[in-house]
Amino acid sequence: MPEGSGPFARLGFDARREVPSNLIAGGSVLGVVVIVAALGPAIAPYPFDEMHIRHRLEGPSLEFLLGTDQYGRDVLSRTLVGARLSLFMGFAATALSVAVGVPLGLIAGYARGAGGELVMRAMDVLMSFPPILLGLLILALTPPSLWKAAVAVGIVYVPVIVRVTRSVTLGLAQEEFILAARARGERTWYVLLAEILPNAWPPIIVEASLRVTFAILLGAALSFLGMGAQPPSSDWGLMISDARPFINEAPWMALVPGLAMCITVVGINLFGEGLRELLDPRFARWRS
Amino acid sequence: MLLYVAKRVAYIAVIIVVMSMLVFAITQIMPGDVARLVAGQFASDDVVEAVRQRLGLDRPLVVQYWDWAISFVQGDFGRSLIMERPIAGVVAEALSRSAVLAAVSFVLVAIIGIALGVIAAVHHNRPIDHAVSIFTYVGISVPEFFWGIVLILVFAGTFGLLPAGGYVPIGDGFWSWLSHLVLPTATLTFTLIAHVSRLTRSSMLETLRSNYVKNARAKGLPERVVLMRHALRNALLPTITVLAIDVGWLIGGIVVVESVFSYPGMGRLLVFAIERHDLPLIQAGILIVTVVYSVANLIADLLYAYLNPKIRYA
Repeated sequence: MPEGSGPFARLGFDARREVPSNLIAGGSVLGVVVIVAALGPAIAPYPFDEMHIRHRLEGPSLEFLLGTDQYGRDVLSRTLVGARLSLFMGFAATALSVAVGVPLGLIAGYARGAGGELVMRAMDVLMSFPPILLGLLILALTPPSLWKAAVAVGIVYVPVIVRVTRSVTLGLAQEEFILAARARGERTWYVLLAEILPNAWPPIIVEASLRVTFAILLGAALSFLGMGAQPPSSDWGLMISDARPFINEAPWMALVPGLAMCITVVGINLFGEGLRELLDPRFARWRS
Repeated sequence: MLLYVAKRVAYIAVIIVVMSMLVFAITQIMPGDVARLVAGQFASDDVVEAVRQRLGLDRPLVVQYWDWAISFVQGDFGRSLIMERPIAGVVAEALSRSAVLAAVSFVLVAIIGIALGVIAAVHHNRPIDHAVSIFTYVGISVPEFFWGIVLILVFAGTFGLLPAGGYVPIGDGFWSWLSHLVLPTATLTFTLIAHVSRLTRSSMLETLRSNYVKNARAKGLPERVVLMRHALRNALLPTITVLAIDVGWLIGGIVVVESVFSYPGMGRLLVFAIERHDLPLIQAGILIVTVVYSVANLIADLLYAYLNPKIRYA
């Protein structure tokens, strides 16, 4: 059982432990991106799809701070509005992975026998596809869109969450308080949901937070290939794809969304690693 | 060990069969009538029906799967609907071009990644370590297609040193062929190095703290011998696993990088097939790439078992 007290004690949060600096740094960066995503159109100088035909492929100027694209659309506005698409991709896909993966992982780890075995073998099959191919295979079915890409990315990363959940559950199932609950005659679903799950969260949260960046990058790659967000959407992957033919005349078209993605991913990665240092007792021991 | 090998091989074989069923099933529920697609948008219903019979699409699914699987094993992948050519030839050509990209990048990732990891571990918490961390962190934080475009901008656009994309057969001139490989492999290598170097660094740090390394140092062995013979050999075990995972990343990266550089390999072919709803080509392409991936994972598994005495003698 985790030590310490306070409202986060269940998550293994120990008030005496120092808050890792990368958690603060990553959290601040992520906070800024979230604010930008939330405000989006409100802080963008122009609507993301407004075309200024007389100002095609213009470099940064006072009128268009980060230049314009091949239709004369403001790159800054498009990038700002694109933040919400990128975050949606990252968090929606990861939420799906967790929603599907955690129950399956609990079953696989707790219910030994055919059921658990079947879950793990199914995950083996899913993991035998290279991630992007599984995504493409799922997306090949229907006309592409951003939310379908998010579903595909979510499915791709289900096995990772299943594995983490299963390994935690396997460990917890041997703990005395679980044996006690079973000896009391508690039902299986009660043991899983009320006893195991609350104690299994820390590693799952850490894994999920690191998955968010994988989801953002994979989603952007799918959009780049034309299998995700569709024009005139200002998804960053799609913006970079649009920029490819104009890269020498208008490099800002690719550099601005690319940099935005870099900042977002670094922020979330730092946050996830900070979270791991905070929640994972093993990690804390290594540090000291 | 032999039993272990047999088990792994059998397991992968089963997985591949299940995957082939999955690929077949998913492509079956794809919207769009294949017969209509082949016959053309304005063909009469009779013509469409004739095409359906010619392609055998009117038979039960199980029969269709069985036929497909059998001819697949025999090396007959069917005909591409769009290109009107046997798929085997198309795929072999594309696969060989992708294999060149993959092989060069993989070797570079392994060599540079391990070297950077060892350098970082030896200089733990000193400026070189931090520089390596930042370098690899940047590589991992940005999608490969963005790096590809940045490289095109710098080396093809600004300096005009290398071609921005495309492909030249090696028969048309070695240097020209090579120059078309530089940017794609550089992009792939840069985005994949992070995994290898970070893992090598952390497992190297762990082994450097171990008692047998302390013992080797206490014996008075030169530092170079301690590092290479005692520490690195043991530290490389997890690196081999991550290199196998990198094969999967490499395949994903290749799909994207080929699109960026208009490189006519397997990745471009697959994206093309999906865009055009070329059913036989999608089925064959995805299955072949997945089989390659599974075999690569199998080799990594066996290599790991061979190098790890705990498994070898179990």
